[in-house]
Amino acid sequence: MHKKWYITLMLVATALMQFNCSGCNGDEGHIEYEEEDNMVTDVNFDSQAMNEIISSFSSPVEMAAIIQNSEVPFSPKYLVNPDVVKDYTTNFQKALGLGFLSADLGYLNVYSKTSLIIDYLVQIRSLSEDLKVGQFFDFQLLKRLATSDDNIDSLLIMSVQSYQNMDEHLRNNQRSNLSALLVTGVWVESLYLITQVAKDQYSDDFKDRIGEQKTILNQLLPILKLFHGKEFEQLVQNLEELKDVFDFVKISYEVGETETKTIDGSLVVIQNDRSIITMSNEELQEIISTTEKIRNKLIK
Amino acid sequence: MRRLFIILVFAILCFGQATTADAQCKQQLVYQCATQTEKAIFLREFNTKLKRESASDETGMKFTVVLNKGTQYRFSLCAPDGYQDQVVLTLYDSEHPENSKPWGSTYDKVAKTDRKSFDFQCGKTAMYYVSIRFKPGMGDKKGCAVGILSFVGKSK
Repeated sequence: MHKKWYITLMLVATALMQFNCSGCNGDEGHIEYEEEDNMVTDVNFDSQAMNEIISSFSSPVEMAAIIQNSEVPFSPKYLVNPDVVKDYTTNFQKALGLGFLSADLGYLNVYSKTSLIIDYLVQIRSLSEDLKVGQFFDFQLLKRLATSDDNIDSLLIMSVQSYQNMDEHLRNNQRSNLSALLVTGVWVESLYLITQVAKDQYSDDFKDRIGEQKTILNQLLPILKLFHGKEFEQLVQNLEELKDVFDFVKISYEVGETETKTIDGSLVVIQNDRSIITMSNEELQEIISTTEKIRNKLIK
Repeated sequence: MRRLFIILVFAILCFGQATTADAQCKQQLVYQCATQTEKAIFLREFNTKLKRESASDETGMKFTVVLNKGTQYRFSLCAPDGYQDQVVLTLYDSEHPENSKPWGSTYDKVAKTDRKSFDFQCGKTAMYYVSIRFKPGMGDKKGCAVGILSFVGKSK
């Protein structure tokens, strides 16, 4: 029995190594990208600075982790129907869609909803293959992990790593426009998730979390403006509309002394610098409804 | 048996992927590092190449990361055998520079001790930097290290 297993494993291993090494050694010479992927940006842009900003944006899991940590029950009504991406035809739509589904996959992972994950994995695979980053998304392994409740941690780690590897690959291969769309998709969907949760279950904490997103939007928008093309222009227009409602949010800062404590044997650094978010409930409602409108427009 | 299967497939996959990034750590180490953080949710990895050509060289890599107010994060550092005590992960920003007043570090310069991780309770949403480098005077050959960022919970 063990011998059989061993042989099977070795065969699988060999196959996987062959598959993996088709993209090894950073040799991208075999992959031809469509011209639209190489949309030239503003001549004065600093690509390293731009990539640093893009790569800094949050993980597709973070907002979901915040929501789950607040003991908000899971709800599938917040999620994108994964089948919607089947109608996407351009790389612009596909990269943005990959971001949306990655954020939803993060949400499903955090809540251990393995039974719903497969549909998302199928569509993420399809999008990633179309964008020629499919080599970083091991569908079979993720599917196997998703079919066992014992492996939920591994599934989450693998999912996030796949996302990170796809994003990094795009940035390293002069396809930063697609990387920017990927993180935009994650950000918009994450904002949508927390605003919908806040709509159903208000808390001061959620209000603060939403208000803080003004900082992120103000970093994201200048990046998106660097890229040319009608679809980018429309995206920027949509996000400008969102920026208009975020402009009502006031963020002030308070400086404090940093504290360090040892809790359960671990060092904890407490940053007592504080950002203070000020916005009215009406302004919050405006952000919630504008986010909903724009997110729904973008996923069509 | 199922667990063995997953570990092996993972290791093999990772072997393949590791070759795409010269001298970065193999994914197996990333996976081990990510899973050793109990009661925290994995957010992202910082896989770093380390190489020192001369004593004055700045080794390793710097990453940017947006951290959100009200969240307690954990920064963990892992390195292959033989490198654990040579590498340091530092969290800093423009007002708290890496070498003078960082927010946190896996190396206590005063006590000269290493820690595998530290937590950071973030008070303001902003862009921060994470560096992973050889300690001064250490690292005479190529190496790698992995930093892991995890979500611990809301700040108390």
